[in-house]
Amino acid sequence: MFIDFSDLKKTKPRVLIVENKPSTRVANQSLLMEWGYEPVLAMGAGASLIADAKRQAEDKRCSLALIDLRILDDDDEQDTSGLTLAEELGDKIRSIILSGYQNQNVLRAMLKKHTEIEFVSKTDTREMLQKTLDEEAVKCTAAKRNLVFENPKILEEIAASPLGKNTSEYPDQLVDVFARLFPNAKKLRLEKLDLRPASSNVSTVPRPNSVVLKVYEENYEPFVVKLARSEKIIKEVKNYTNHIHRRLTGYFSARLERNASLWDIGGAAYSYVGEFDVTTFSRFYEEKTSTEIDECLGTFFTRIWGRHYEQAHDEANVSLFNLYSQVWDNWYEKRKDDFFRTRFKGSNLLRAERSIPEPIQWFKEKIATPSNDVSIVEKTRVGVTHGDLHGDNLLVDTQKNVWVIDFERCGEGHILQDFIELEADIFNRLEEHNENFPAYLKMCDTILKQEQIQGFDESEIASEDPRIEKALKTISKLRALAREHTKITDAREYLYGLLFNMMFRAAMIYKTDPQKNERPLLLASLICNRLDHWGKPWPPNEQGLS
Amino acid sequence: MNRLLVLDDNERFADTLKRNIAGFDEYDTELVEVATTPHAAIHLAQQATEKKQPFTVFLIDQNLDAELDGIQTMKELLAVSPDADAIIFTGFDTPQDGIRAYEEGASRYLPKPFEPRELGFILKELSRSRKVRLEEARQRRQFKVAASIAEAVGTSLKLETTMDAVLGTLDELFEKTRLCVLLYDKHQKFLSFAPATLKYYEIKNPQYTQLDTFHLDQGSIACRVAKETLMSRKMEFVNVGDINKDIDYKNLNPDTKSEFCISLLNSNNDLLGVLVLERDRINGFLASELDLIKMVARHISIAIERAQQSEELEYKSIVSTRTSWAANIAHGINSEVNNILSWAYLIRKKAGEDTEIGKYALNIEESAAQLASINPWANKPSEPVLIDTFLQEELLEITKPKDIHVDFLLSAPDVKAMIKISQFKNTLRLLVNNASKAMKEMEEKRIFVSTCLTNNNSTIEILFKDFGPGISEDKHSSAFRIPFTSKQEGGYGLLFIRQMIEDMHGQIRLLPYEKSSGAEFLIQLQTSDSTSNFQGG
Repeated sequence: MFIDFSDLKKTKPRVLIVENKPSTRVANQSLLMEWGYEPVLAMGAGASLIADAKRQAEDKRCSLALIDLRILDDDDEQDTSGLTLAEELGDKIRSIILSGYQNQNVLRAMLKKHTEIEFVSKTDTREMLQKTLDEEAVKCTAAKRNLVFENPKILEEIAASPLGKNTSEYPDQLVDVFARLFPNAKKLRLEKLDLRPASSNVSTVPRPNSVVLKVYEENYEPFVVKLARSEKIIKEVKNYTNHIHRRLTGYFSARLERNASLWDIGGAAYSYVGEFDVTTFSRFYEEKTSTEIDECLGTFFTRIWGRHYEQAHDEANVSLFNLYSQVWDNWYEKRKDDFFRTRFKGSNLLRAERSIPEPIQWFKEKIATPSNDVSIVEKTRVGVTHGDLHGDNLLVDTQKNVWVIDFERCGEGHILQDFIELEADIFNRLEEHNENFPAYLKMCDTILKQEQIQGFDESEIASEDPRIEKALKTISKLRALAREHTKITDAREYLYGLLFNMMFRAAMIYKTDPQKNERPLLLASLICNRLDHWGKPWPPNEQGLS
Repeated sequence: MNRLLVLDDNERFADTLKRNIAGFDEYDTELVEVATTPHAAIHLAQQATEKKQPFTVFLIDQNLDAELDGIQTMKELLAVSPDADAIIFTGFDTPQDGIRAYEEGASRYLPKPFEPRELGFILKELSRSRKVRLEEARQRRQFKVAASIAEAVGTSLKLETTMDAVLGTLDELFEKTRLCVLLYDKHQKFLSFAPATLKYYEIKNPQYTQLDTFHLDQGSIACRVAKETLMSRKMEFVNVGDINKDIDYKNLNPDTKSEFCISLLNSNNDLLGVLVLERDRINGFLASELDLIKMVARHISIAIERAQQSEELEYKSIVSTRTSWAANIAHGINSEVNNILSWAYLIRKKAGEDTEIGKYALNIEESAAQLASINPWANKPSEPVLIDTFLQEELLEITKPKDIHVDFLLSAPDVKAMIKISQFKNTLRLLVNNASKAMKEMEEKRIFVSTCLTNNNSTIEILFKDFGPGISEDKHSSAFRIPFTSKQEGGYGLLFIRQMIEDMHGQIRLLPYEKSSGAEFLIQLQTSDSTSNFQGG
């Protein structure tokens, strides 16, 4: 199906027709076509009609349904199977019940419980039916509301992204999400949050399935809107309710105002207290000095997320690998037959000079084999972690107020996880500036060296590459904050987390972006090497580079 | 109050005793009689008992110069007044006499001479124990009455059967009392005899034998009690000792001297009616009977309330069994109307609104909508309609083919009544049909219809009257409740009329039967005035 994002009027919303009388079915079909809808007919009778209705609704990604009240038994006064079906179709679809029921008052009382379901009598005029249908369509479809997007180009980009491709068969879902998130809007302006330099449009994090935008509705404060697959949005809403809503300290937290989940795509709209002009931490990091970056990180981990660390608890004999796997939706199980059969090519240069292990194999043998799992620790701390903390999920305004969005993976996890993820993100950003490989390798050695979690010495931070020096300064700050808030000292816990991050990233992008796959695997390999040399000098003297 | 009889052949002693007794402190003496012979004493006792004012204490000298001695006379006296106490006194104290006196029922045996104060103590003590005894007896009696009335109330759910059983029981309980139960009609504000009442209550005054209703404003003691109850919303009663002194009294029975009226209320404290008791003597009702009468009134109230509820249930069950199939057919009709509306609409749109075909299609849609609204269960909301005009137009149309002449007396030209048009048309059609059948033997058929605004302009009353034989009294109370017909089957017309009118938040009643003056229906409907306030709030 083709959709012109700059002129949505031409798009016809799909309306499911559930009617047990074939003659009425055909009549309704003709009416809907006359009124500019695309009718989707459920066929069959009785229970098979209901089953077909559910199937058709999903197959054709319907946004509305016109349902007869009595589907099962036309002669049974008590039959309200249509209402039951409407409930079961859920909120992906707005339903209108069409009924020849005698006592409309009784029916209206019944429907009062279901405020989302509308009702039209079979004896009402067709104009009345059309009016009701149009009113419902305006609530849930961009087309019938004729919702205008000021910059439809962004929509085209999203439609072409991996997320958008989920909706490629029925791309109107993409605009209908906005129609539902902004129920009164006539015109919306979308703005990308991560305004990365034009030269680089590649995300540093594996997030092919979500997009974050700033959305302006007329003169209102903008919302930050996350689009993702429906099930992810549902998960995010649940996590937000369980872990974030009224549970963060400080003034600055995003507030989930509305959410909508359609068949393939959903959206969560966050409002935030802060300056109008908000940017991502990624961009902030690029533009600001290390002092400003440190200040911003300090605010976030101390003032915003701090309460979660205070309420963390100890757990004994835990596999760190399992902790991370849970947060990442058992990624290893899903990738082990494919990615984990591949091999790390390794930098020829490095392999010649250092005998570093093949990280995928190392991981398989020493971590993913439960009997050998070296990531099992006697004791660690577990608390609520964001689970997906990277520079695009952390927002900063001009007053350096900072808050997070995107709670899809929020939940109990390794207490170090958020520090490690942000460090991995900073590390990953350097991929694009790898001209100075020796300096890069030196940085890797620096972040692997210490046996205690702590900030680095001034001398260790200094680098001939200013980008690397900035990264090291920020990582040093993150380590110091991690020590302060988690009270964990053993740096191996940190390195395991970093290893899992690198492996996860490599596994996510190895097909789409094989060039980029080498860098995370290189760091992974060095981590494996470091762990094998624990308690010994680092970098290993006999093979180290000077 | 104590009523004493002194029997002593020594007249001087007896008089002294009489004076002494009258002077006792804290001893209520109503009457002290003196007799000097057993014969005179027994005669006085018999007279007192007949007057329902029996003696309470006998003071008897044992040694009488007569054919009977004191103890023998006491036996006779106690036979006449079984509730009384007897004191035997004697100048010749022998143990045998004392034992005999007690064996024969004396309360005290007192040797002479005795101190008057001693007698005073004895009398007071007897008075106290007598009160206790009487209270116990009263309670036993009440319990028995309660049990028998409760039993009578439970015999049936039908008012007529229940009233018959209750009044029958009361008739046995209250001797020499006429009972009647009057029911209150809240719409017409009158009291009328409850079913079965006239079996137990006869109007003897020829002036009133035709009377069966008592309008609250026309007076009578029962109406006064009813009005007071409507004001206070609690049980009211009045005990008129002498009906001649009560200006409200309506003399239905020349023998009546005193009357007791008590109101009957349902569980919401709405007035149900009045229980009336009459006796043939002045001050016929004693204060001590009040509790008993109150209890009886409560039981009758329960019986009436239950019977009314069961009538309502009966009506509803009949209507619902008769309408469930109709509701199903209506659903089928509506489904087809739906299709007709859809196709006609599409024809209109495709052909264009202004084309000939488009106009035909619009006509089809209108007809389909009409078809759907004919069904009385469509439950469209009521709408304001100029009622006089509507009645005039509709009734003329309905009556013309039946050759019935309508006399109108319409006095609400600008009033809009809240009606469901097609339902109300059906109502009128059914009423005219009934009237037409009732008058089929008559050469000149006519009906009379009038309108009148009441109740602060919030209600419009429509009177509909035919001139057939009318609906006889015995069928009146059930006319709108159970199938009503002069034939073997059918007769649901009045039930449906009631259902349709009540569906419009109106009411319909059959006005009291008057021989050979036809059936008279009063329909009350809300005006748009009454609903505009309501909707505004």
